[in-house]
Amino acid sequence: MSELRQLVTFRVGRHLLGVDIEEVQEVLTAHDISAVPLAPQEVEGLLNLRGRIVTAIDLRRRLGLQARSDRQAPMVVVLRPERGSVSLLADAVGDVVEVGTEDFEDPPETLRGRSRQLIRGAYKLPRRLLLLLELDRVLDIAVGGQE
Amino acid sequence: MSDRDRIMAEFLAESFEQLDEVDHDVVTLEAGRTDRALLDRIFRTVHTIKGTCGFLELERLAALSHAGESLLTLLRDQDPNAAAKAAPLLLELVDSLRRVLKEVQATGADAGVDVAAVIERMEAAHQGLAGRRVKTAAKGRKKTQEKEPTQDKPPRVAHRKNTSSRQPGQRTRTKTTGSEQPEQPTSLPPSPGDGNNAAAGTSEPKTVKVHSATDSFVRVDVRALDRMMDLVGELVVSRNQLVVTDWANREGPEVEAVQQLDLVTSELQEAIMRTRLEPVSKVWGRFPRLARDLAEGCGKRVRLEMEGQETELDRSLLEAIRDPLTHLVRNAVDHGIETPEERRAAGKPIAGQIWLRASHEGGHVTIEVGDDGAGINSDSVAARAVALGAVTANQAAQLTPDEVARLVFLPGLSTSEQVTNLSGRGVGLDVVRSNLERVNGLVDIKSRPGEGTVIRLEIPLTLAILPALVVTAVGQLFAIPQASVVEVVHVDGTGDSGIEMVHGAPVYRLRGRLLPLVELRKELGFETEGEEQRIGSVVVLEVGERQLGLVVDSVTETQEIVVKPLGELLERIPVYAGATILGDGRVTLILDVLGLAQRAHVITEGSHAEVDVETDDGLPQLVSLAEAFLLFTSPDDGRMAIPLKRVVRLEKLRRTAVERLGDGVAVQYRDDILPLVFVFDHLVERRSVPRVNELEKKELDVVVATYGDHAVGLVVGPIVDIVEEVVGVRRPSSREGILECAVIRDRVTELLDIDYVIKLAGPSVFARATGTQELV
Repeated sequence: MSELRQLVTFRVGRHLLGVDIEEVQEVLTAHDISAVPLAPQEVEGLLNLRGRIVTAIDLRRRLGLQARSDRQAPMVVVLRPERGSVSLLADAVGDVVEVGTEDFEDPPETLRGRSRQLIRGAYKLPRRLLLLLELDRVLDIAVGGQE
Repeated sequence: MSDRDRIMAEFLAESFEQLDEVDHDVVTLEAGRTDRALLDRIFRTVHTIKGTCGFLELERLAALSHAGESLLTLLRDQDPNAAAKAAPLLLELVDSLRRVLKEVQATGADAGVDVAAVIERMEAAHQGLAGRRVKTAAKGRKKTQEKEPTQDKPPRVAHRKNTSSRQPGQRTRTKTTGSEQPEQPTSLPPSPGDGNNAAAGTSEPKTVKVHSATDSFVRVDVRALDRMMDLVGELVVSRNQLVVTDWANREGPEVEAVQQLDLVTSELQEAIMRTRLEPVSKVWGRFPRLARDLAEGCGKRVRLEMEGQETELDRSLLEAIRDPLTHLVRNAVDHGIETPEERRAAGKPIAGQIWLRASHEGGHVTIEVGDDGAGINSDSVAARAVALGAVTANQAAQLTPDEVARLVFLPGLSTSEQVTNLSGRGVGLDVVRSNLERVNGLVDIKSRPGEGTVIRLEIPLTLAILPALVVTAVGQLFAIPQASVVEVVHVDGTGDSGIEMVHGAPVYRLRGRLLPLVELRKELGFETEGEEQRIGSVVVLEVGERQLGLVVDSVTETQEIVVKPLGELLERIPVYAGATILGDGRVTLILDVLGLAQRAHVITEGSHAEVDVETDDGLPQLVSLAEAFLLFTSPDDGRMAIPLKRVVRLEKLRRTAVERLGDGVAVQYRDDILPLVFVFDHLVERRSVPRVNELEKKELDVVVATYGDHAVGLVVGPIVDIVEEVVGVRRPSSREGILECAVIRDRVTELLDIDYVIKLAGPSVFARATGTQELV
């Protein structure tokens, strides 16, 4: 009955977030990210992935969280090329976890405003909640930009 | 993909390509340039299609190509005129073949297309020719034996036997067999079932032979090439990282290895770039046919000449110019070339001439599409532009013929008086221009009434790699395409830097011209902290026919860069054209010069004289209807404007420098005497405002303006700004000395009639201006 799926998990602020493993190409430590003046504020910049230029979206800013301190080097979750050349910046990357549909529920009430629109729902893990990102909306910078 | 699918895909691609060539060949035949080799080539193409489609079990295609092949076999033995006469039918054959192939491409089978009518017509032609062939048979056969290409060399008679045995329309031919055709077998061999089987039976060995002729070519998926381009880009970057390491003091095999790697990488990069180059003939191939059909459709006669077909371009660029070029050829036939009657009346050859010329020029490929037709009707173009509100009647009257011709690139301006079924499909020359601009190309037009029109396209060699100037600003690197860079001026921040502020907007004096400055830092959204600007370098950029100075912190180097797209999230930012990866692996943004200029709202015109010279050299220019003005305040606090093209310099002169000379005043200026005209003294006041005597001010704002060959100093009010705008609202002014009233920068502004004011100032000014030598 229960359908299993594998999620790549990562931490952003106090949230544990996840995206389907099928969406992720690779994970790496951020090295030089070139800033793009005039870009939407959620865009951290551009990075060089073996000759491919990849746009980095800072999940902290995207979710309306406090900015990362300078000492914290973010991790880069590079999405598959079908998503366009984009990647998500997270504080740290966790394990790949297997979740079942029976553990899936609506986003928790504590999530409000902008971030709520960007979360499809939550999986109950033994010790905490894993929030599934609604990638279509996360990548559509225009959504939730008003707050 | 199954074997059959793969063979099918290859067969279709090859056939379409070859049919394009056949089009060309047939049109050449028809024009009377009969060449046995042409017929051979056409025959071979049809023959190959027949062979392969037998294998692929495409019955209708087999029947059609078979009928075509039979006809061609006969034509090859006929005198040249016969082939020329058969040209329309051959074109019909080509079209039908193409139709069937398209059907096959779409559905995998050829059942949906009716080819019976064409086959019948070809058979009828075949009969007619067969009758005539008796007379020329002997001669024809001899020729045939000499020149027959090897792959078609089965013994003549047997081959023909074979052909006729597969002729699907045997019954119609029975009456001609026998007495009239010596070579036609009197008794047909037993029919080997239906035509298709027979074709299949004979096709395979021949197909193999044909393929052997193209053994040196391989079909490659374009995506594979693109991927290779990407990878070699990465390799180049890694190579650069390696080479940057200081090897100079080292020795040993690894140094040699690095040098070797360096060399091989460069060559590999070049070689892969070359794989993406294709000759323009790939796009031009269909034009002879297109021109012929169009001309026929509108009762004209046209000769198309092509030069430089081997000129190569990156395939993506080639695709980008396909439609624009087609449109231009269409236009030339439809609107350029006159009817035979008109041409006769004008004393021109009946057949109109259209030419396509491609060549490499510097870093560009230039393609010209020219015709010797009627040329563009300046009056009607100008009238149309005025009607559209693109220019005022006044402006239109002042435009040179070339400038008027360029108006045809405006949206909505069709040059045709009536919309024909050929052109006038809503695609105007404005689309041609925007297509070209999208690939960093340019388009220009020249037209002479009665002599014709030439449209010139300038296309970069490749989109992928271009030389760029790397600059720094806000602590970051940016690349500027070298093509837009005119020069770099280093400015030291102290003393007379040549930078002046005109109402808060900086301008730079560059050899007597005012160059509006754009601060990169500011345009990128960073504040300049109000204090004096730290100016490092001014990069003089060219945007169309205009120039601006981009202020950057420093200029580091020139590099070849590989342009990569920015991706969906960022591509809407107008100041970037893309991004690239520099030698050290860093991602760097490429500035879009046009986008920057537009964002900064300051583009100024180069000196007009220069522009005109360039035009005569045939250098392409962008059409721009924006005009540049110098704005200043009039004593009653109104706004006035002078066209910037009349302005040589701006000066602030001390009042004490002004000397009286006869009735007038003048200053010593640059080892010469500059007559001064106090503009406001010569204008009728609008309302009584206590006027400050200009001479009582400590400093005078003087605009040094051209007057004929001379310079005159116009004493004006405080200078507000230099702006460039497409002026919408204008109306004539009743006030003397004012040409028009217009809305510029959201304010009603009076355009000063410089010549009128200078004339009013008295002949003495002018006399003095011409006689300065005596006075000095």
